[in-house]
Amino acid sequence: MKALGDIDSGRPNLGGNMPVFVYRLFELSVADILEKNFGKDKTDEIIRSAGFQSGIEYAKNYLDLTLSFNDFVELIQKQLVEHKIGILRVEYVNLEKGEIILTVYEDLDCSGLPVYDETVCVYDEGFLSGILQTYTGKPFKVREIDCWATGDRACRFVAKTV
Amino acid sequence: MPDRSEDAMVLISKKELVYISKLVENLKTAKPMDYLLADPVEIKNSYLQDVQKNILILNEYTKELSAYSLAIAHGDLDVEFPTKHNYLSGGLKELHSNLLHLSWKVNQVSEGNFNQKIDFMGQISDSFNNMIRGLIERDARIEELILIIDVINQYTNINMYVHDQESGQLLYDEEERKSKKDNKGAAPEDENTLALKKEFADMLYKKMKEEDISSSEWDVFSEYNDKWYHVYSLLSKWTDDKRAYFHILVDISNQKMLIENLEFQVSRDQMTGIYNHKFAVNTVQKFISTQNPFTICFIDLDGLKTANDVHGHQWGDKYLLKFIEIVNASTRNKEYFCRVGGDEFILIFPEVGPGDMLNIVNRISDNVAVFNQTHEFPFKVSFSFGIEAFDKNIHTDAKAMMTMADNKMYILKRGKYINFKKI
Repeated sequence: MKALGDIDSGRPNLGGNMPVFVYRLFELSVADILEKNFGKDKTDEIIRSAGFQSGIEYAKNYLDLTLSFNDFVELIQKQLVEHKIGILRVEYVNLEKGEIILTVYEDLDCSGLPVYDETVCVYDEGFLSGILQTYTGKPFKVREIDCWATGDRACRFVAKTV
Repeated sequence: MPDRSEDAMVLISKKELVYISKLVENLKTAKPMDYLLADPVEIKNSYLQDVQKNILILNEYTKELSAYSLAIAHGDLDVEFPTKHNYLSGGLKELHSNLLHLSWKVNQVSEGNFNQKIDFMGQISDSFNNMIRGLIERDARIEELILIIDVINQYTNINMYVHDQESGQLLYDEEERKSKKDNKGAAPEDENTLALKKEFADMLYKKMKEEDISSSEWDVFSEYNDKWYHVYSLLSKWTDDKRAYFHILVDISNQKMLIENLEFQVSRDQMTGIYNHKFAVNTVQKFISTQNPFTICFIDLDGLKTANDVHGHQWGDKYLLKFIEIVNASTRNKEYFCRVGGDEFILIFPEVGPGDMLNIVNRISDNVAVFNQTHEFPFKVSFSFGIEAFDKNIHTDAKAMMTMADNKMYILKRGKYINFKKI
């Protein structure tokens, strides 16, 4: 996380926040260029991997990995709201089967986008996968089944141990 | 050339229009379309074909939405989400998702995990988060009380009941908690014991409720377990909108028994087991202070010293015990019979005048006479007595009143002696 720099001292006047559209401008333009160069599948893979790495770093630096699962989920909810990433809600958990269903409302990546008829939150898929793997020590495959971009009000993710 | 401009006129038959109109009508009123679909009208116009296609899709979405909303309304949260392109169901899917989340949260709470919060769900969030706050506060209060009780329990046996102030419902029973904690699998208490226990707990509630007091301290005997408790009762906050009576019960059975034993020993004559001089003085003084009528009778055994000297102390003791036996047989249990000296006794009779006292003394005399007829002892049993009835204008001091009765006894004894001499 050191690579992110000392934002407080670097931006004493502007601070650590910026509008969501700027974030999306960067993310979507990068995705667009990647897709033009490598195609849709490869682009998804790259962005999902970036999200995964980001999830691991986020879990290590902003979450308490020693908490019980329920307390850990409560902390993720709190942190994601505080960092304005989204409103995480848990719909279903079966740790024995290694299956979790989560929703993210007001998602940073997609809420408010036009309907594309396909899910777009591949970065989130990787991000959640990175967090869950860091906490449980087991690899998790996370896939988005509903998305704002498919006309839904929330992004719904199914996470399963691989 | 066909006119392809946006303003071009197209030919549609009346039959086609009527059919499409019926489809729309049924869609609007959510009526089944099956009969219309079973006997379709062939639509030739391509524009109208698109309209028909979209009406049928909308019909499928509406049917799906209707079934989905009914399942949610019936609490079936396992129902599958509608198909991805059914945009009509967006709001309902959000509600479904929120209910699933709420259900998961409530399950966490029911498993004792109060570290739960719901954000951004309007009134549901407010209510849920308030409930959690209340539960945490109540839990902390109970934990605090349990900690206090556990600490006190190391030194004494303590119990606690908590009753809802309004309904009287028993909210907490420390004994039950301890019993569950210590005797997992132990046999449950029988119905009679449980009923007596409930009666006891209800009695604590009723006292506070009926007397409308916020705190009290009292000793009470519990029949269901034969114990004495010192009870501290207090009205205090239980939850944000509920107040409750807290009854903390300290088991004082051992102390009670010890005190009773001590009181018994202090008030009894060691040799005979009847009340002693100290008890007699205290009781007479107590009666004087209440100003209620009572009468005392001073009794002196005749010839006890002679019996000791001539026949031995063994006969002297038998003389004493036999006389006590006769007096006890001649009186009821309401009176106090005390040994106030070696051969001196006093009877204290509440609510009795001098006439009745004389009748009782005569009854004792008659029973003594009957005994003397048996010739069981090598001497006659006899006694002298003096009766003094309480007069509030005269008697203020117990010892003085007892002395006056003693003096009357002495006059009688001296008369007997003179008569004896004459004989």
